[in-house]
Amino acid sequence: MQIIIGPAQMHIENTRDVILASTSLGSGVGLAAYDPDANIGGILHFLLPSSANNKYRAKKNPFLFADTGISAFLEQMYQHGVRSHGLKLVAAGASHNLNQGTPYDMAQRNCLAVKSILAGLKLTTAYEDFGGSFYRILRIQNGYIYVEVPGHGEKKV
Amino acid sequence: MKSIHEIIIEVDKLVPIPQVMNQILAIAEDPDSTMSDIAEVIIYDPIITSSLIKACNSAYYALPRKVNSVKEAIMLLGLNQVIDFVLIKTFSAYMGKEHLGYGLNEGELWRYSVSTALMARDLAERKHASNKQFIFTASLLKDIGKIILDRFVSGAIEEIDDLILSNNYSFREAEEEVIGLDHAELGGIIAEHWNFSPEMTYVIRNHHMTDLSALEDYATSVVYLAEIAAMMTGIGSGTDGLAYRFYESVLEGLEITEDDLQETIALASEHYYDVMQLLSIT
Repeated sequence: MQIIIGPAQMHIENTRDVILASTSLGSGVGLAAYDPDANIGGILHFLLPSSANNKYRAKKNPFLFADTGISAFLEQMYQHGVRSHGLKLVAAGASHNLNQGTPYDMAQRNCLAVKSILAGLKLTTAYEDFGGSFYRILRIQNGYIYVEVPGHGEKKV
Repeated sequence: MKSIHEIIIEVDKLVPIPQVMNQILAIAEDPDSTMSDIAEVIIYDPIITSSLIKACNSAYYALPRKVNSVKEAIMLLGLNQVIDFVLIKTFSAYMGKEHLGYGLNEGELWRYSVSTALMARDLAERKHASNKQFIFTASLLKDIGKIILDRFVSGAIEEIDDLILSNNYSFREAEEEVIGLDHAELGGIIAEHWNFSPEMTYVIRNHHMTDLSALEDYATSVVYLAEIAAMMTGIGSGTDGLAYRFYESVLEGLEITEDDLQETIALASEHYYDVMQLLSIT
């Protein structure tokens, strides 16, 4: 069975018989987390860097934003019995249009947000793949996390 | 170029859109349209009528009583929502198939178009545009050129990728260079073939700002920005990815701030799931 995680969504599952996959990641970021001991995996797919100006919407759906989404996602991973020391983390996405610069480069801010939030939690990623003008798909399957660029291969972590 | 001739032959072979669609498009473009105008058109199409009534009677709306007619449906949903529903349902027949040249599985081009249209609806409402329905419709139809160009992109994707990666072309520019015609221009040709209005044809043809004077056109600017926002979510995305040019001046021209754009992405993404749920039950 395959479970698809769309924008502003997250899903956590025992991945023994289940594949978790994000939809295409645009300027948003996908964060995949996998605990090999518990066989629990999860993917968060957030779109926007900060809920600071949008508390109401963050309360309704924290997974839309990096700040509220990452903490809520990891909290739920821990509730599934996952331990932070064994957790494999992979982050990908933050693609942008050609010539897209500040102040409208949300991809860059999404990228910085995930790095800074994970650093604040003293968590490190096993692999990161950001930027460019193409889409990526994150997938957890058979104990590995994959970052796929459709038509251009994939990286197995 | 040989391929342009082949592409035009494909346009001539394209199944015509149903007459009812041209009538609905005319209503969508007329801000003075009434409930009766749309009801008169829909009641003669049994498939659209039954889908609409089924949607109204679904658990999604949880109504206390059954809806039995198009007029009741319009009263319940409102004129614009009914037009949106009919357009989205009807054009899924053209855009819902797989388009593997663009790396799009079944339904993805259609989901991308719906996502863009919802972004456009929100931007148009945010700016109190007078032609909201026109902008929604143009956003939904803007990539109609891809349904034919798909086959030609399939045979040219390596050259197209090369131009993007090595020569800083946008995907549209690379299509034009390698195939001789890009999907926006071809969309304009299809729009003419289907007798769309000159205004609708213009937006479809220039939705990537091929003609830079389109930067001054309000409806084209909103549709352009809506597509940028849709690309950012990744919904229904293909191998063309985000390889299109970003014109900051569009945001400045429309007076859209970064906060506005974030709010549009947030709202339209939320609305997208609602719309998909509704369409899946009809």
